Amino acid sequence: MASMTASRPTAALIEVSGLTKDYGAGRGIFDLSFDVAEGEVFGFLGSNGAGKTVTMRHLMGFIRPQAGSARIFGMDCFAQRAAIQGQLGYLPGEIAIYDDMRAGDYLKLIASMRGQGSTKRRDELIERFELDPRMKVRKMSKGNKQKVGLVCAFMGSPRLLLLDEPTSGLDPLMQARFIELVREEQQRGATVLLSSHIFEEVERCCSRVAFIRQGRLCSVQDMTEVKGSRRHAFNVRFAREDECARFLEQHGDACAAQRTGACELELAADGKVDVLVKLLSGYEIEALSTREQSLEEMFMGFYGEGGAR
Amino acid sequence: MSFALFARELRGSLSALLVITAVLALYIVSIAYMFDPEVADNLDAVMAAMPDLFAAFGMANMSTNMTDFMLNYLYGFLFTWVPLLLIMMMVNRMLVRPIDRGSMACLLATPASRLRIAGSFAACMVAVLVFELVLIFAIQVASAEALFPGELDAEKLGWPGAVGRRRRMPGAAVIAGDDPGGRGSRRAGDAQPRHVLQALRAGRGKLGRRCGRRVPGACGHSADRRRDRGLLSPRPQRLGAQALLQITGVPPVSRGSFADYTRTQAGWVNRSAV
Repeated sequence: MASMTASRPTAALIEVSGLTKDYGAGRGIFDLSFDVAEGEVFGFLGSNGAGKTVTMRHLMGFIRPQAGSARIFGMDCFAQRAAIQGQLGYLPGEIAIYDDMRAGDYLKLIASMRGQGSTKRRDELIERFELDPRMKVRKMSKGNKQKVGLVCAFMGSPRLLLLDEPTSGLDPLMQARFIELVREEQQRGATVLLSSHIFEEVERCCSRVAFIRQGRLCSVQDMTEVKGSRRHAFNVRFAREDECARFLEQHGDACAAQRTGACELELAADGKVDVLVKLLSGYEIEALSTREQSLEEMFMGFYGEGGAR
Repeated sequence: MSFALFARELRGSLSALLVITAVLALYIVSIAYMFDPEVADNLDAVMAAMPDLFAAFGMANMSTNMTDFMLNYLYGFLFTWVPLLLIMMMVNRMLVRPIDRGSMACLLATPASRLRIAGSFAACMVAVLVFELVLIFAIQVASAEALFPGELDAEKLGWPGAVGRRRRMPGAAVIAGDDPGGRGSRRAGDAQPRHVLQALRAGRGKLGRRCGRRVPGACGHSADRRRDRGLLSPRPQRLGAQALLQITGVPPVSRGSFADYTRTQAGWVNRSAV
């Protein structure tokens, strides 16, 4: 197996085809198919309850697919779970660690179960995330538990990393350190599958992204493509009401303007930020702010008003 | 089997093991204390006299030695609920709670197969059970030897080597005092310091009654009631009294019984001498 992938470095490391698990009432995942190539950082983007974690659990071999298949390194995720896990690092979305243990003891237990002898990488990561290994897991905050999970996932220098909402609970400094770490791992040659409901997080480290909505895959796109087609919404507050009315009259249609207050407008730039800024220069503006586009709006952007189908 | 996981779970099971053992020790000692060799001897005599009557009730082969007494009272109980309780506690701790909380995912995220993880848990449960049974057995032998030296046929209970009459456990020997005579200690003249303790434990003894007051520190009624029901031997009281008399320099009472003695201003005197 190893020699096969070595000769084909771009072979798909993760192959998911027609994966289905129906939990009823529209929950679950339906006919999911995508590939992740070796050395890629792949983002998995969807709102809460879209089916990201269910997919991850299939890839981890925790649950059996109802239909379709999930394969990692060419092996079946459920049947050959133990063999796959040797080269895999996993961070669960709902971090749950044996809470009667100290963080250091827990990491030691997992390392010995994985047969990892060296503690060098582990100590490095503990230092990087400023973790106190003597602390009892029960007494840790959500963010600190997340750090233990991260160290646990990264300490074996695995070939593939499955990270389920990795930055939840982390403060901005630690989030930055995490993204730095993902980039380093990519340079080392590791493949990363990262799920998130925050676009910015995926944007900062992924080269390709899959959008999942209500258990169905909407599209798989390169990050550069997504960035180009991304809508920017601006909130503009004019100094006087007549200024606002004048802008609405002259450029209202071009900017898909919507009135949000007496002298406030929300404008969509649709990738033409430059044009909009130049238009606004002729008016007296009191405040200007951008609004992050929500995931739902992003899906709308791809598929129009009909929604992601 | 993963040794790291096995060690972790073994350490986690220790507290439950210790608590259960402590409760059991209390129970075993009290059961052993309830054994009465004289009642057993009497029962033997009755059985010999009326074998048909006992056979009619299916008790023809009823045994009255201490080994069988312990077997009847302890094993039917200890070997059913103790393993059950321990297994239930351990399964809850090792499997149910981690699966419920999701921390089992951490174990499944290692190259260990499900079989190997479950095998580690099972090995830990077996180890704890075996250890618990060894503890139960040791407590039984120790308490039986301490209270009734030589009565227990430990070999029959499964103890490796003869622990009973000849080779008693060192701890038991210390508690029991050196008494190679076994049952012979019940004969008068063999009173030893330990019998004083036994007399105090047994409550109001003959000595106390003779003196018209209770033995200090004795707990009294319950022991009397048990003795009335034939559950408690008068033996400890008698031996205790003898021991006290010996220690206090009163002439030995090895010949004759208490009924032959009376208390005068000079001390304990044989009635025939008065």
